Amino acid sequence: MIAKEIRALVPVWAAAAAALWAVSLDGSPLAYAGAALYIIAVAAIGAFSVGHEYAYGTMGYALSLPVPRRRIWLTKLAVLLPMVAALAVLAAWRVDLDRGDRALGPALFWVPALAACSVAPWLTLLTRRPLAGTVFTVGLVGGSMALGEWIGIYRYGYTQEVDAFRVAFVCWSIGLLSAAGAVAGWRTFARLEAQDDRGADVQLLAFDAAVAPSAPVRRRHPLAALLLKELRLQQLAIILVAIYAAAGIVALLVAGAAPLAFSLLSVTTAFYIFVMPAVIGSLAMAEEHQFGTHDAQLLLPVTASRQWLVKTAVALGLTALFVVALPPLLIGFVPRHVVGGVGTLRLGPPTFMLALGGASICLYVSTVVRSAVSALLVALGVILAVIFFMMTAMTDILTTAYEAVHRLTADHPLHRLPTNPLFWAVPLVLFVALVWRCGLTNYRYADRSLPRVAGHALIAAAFLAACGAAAGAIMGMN
Amino acid sequence: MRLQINFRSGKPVYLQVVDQVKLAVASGALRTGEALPGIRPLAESLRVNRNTIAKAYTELESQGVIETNAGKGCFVKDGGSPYRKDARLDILRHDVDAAVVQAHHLQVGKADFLKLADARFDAFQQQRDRAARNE
Amino acid sequence: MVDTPAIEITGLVRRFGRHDAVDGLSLRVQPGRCYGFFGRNGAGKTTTIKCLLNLLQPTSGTVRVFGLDPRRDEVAVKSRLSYVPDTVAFYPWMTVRGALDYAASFRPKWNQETERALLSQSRLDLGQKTRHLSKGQRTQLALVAAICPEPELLVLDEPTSGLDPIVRREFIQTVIGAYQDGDPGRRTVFVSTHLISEFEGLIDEFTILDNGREVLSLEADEARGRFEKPLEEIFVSTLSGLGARAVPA
Repeated sequence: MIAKEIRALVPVWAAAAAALWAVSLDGSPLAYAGAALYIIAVAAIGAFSVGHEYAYGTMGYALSLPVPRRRIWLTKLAVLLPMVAALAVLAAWRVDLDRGDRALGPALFWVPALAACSVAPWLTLLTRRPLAGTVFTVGLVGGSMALGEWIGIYRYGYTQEVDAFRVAFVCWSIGLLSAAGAVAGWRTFARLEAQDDRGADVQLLAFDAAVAPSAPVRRRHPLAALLLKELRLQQLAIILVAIYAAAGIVALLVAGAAPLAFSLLSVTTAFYIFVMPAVIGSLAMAEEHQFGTHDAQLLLPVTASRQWLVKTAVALGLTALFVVALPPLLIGFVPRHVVGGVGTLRLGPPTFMLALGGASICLYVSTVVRSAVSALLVALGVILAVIFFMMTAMTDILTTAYEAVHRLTADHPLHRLPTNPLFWAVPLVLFVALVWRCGLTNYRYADRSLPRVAGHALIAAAFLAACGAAAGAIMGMN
Repeated sequence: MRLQINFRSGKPVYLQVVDQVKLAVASGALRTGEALPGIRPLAESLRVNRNTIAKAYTELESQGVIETNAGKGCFVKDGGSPYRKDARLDILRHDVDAAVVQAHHLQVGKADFLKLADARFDAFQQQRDRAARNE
Repeated sequence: MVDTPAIEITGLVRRFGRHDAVDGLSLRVQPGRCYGFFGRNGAGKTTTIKCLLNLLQPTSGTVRVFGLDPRRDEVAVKSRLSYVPDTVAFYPWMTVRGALDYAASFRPKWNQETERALLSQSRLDLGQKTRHLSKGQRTQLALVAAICPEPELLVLDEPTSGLDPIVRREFIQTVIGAYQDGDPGRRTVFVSTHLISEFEGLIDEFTILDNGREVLSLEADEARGRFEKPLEEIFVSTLSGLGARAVPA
């Protein structure tokens, strides 16, 4: 049984470890992402330790084995703890704390780990979806950090004591939550009923109109039917957006009195922009795999490319609406005298590119990966890898191209990148289209083939390199 | 009329239906002018393909046993078989041949065979009379 | 009149890694027939069907549905057939009514009468969520959704597994009956199963598949005439390697 648990968790763990490793290789802006990635990763592993039974539909089988439930639960914990500990050690070693949240110190590593081992499995059992368990655990951990900072600054002002208070607050709050989670998780598991459904809804939005006993058929236009279905699949993402928006509005209302709220908002926004595209992308495809409806969808008399187009359009549309448009909207309402306080957030074109590009990448990953949680982690890892690639190899190519062209003309050093929106928009659109096309091939066929995915990765890398070269050349000619 | 399909006999299903309908007509279980079951209900109750029943009904119609009234269904035709006597005897000969071969295999002699045939004729007639009385 | 075959498979080969799931299968299904596709578990039936539906690509060989290539004329092929897989999946939040509405949105035709009749016979509650349906009820719902658009070809993969005996009997009687009641020449059924005795009377023609290869292809009546056994026993004896000995005429 231990072997089975390990086998189920290893892919996710490996993805997380690889992502963490990749993050720490270079780059100051990525270090903050490293901390965030670590929190997400451990939460994901914690959620998946129970969640894989839901993801693969094996919960009923697992509970029917002649093994006392206590032993099942303890086995899961026994496999989970070393994995989380290993990740914590890896993160502590590789993630550069000086640039990240230095205030929290080592607590940054063991607090999320604790939550991952207690709160994440419990929430997964409650929501019956590993992705929801992951996201809510991350929200709790991040929320307590933010709350700790807020209360601390409120009490002590901007002094040294804030940091100490924050650490204490986070440790205590998450510690208590973890204790509660551990107990509640075990009790929930002990009394768990293995219903056949795979936890489709977070049961918050359970308002469905009663259906008349002999209601006639109600046919919609096929595209409308697809659209509504896609939106329904994204229910979890919409819930998260609503939570974020509510928090944002509260922060805005309070921003006049407590300018600190704005800084919290910006931190949350940064996190939100980083994670939401990945969640949206994962939900779009991985859920279909989990429900088993992928095959049925492919058999509808609608071309696969059209279905994929609708799915992608909905995902990217939601990303554009909720990740690109919403945060600036919220921040735009902040009173002028507050802006410029702690941690101003610059939401320029790179952020939007990241969001849309990230969502596309996540969509692609979720066509290949079968469970939403794995898709989330792998996608985050891939996004970071792409950023890393862009910051290193692509920059080199860009510089080389620039110098090659520039040597022909005058002698100017490389300035900052142009701010012409077209300069950014064109490669982004092309990139999204390319990723879409690669994803379509995966969507269309039931078999996953490694050579095909590797081919896609090479094409993407080549495209990015070509973009770098073109960018350098263009800049050189100006 | 109760039809039974025997999948073990090696005989095509539609022929079994044809023969059993003809038997029913001849034994009086189906009267002249009586309606046959619809193709779909009969197919469903026998759990066979409706095309098979359709084929059987077509065959029965071509043999003149039944006639189709457009929109109303199939009815037993008046007067049974329209063929001449020697044609009818010809059709019957095949079945008699099969019975004779079977008797040979089972080592039943000609006298016993004829005695059996006699008895079966009587039983058949009794069944017809009973059906007529039950009207 | 020579009709385009509803299904025509020629030399189909499908390889998974080093294993040949289907190894040179050929068969032809004329329109209006009820064609049985028999084989043991793992013989390659589902793989063949998936190649028919463009869910899998053949490694070699050709597949034609209504004379069209399922890959190139995707929508044309899919709009004329319905498929009921052995594991039926629905979006869990949809009700029965919702699932049927969703399926109907993609089809040009939808027979309300048939839907009403089949729903009342199966006793499905329109308001119930699909995730609360039992496995057999899900299969029944999938069948209703497959038959109401009146497709020209109905592809069934293990349709009666998971159905209780009463429902199974009703299924054979009514569902197939309802399907075939329309235009007989354009109602083809392709059923893959290993519960052959249930489909005994319905099958016009069949192919037995073993290890990805066809072992026997015959008309049902001819087979029964030759072996003097019902189809299921022909299946068992053919595959048991005993060989069915034909009774001398």
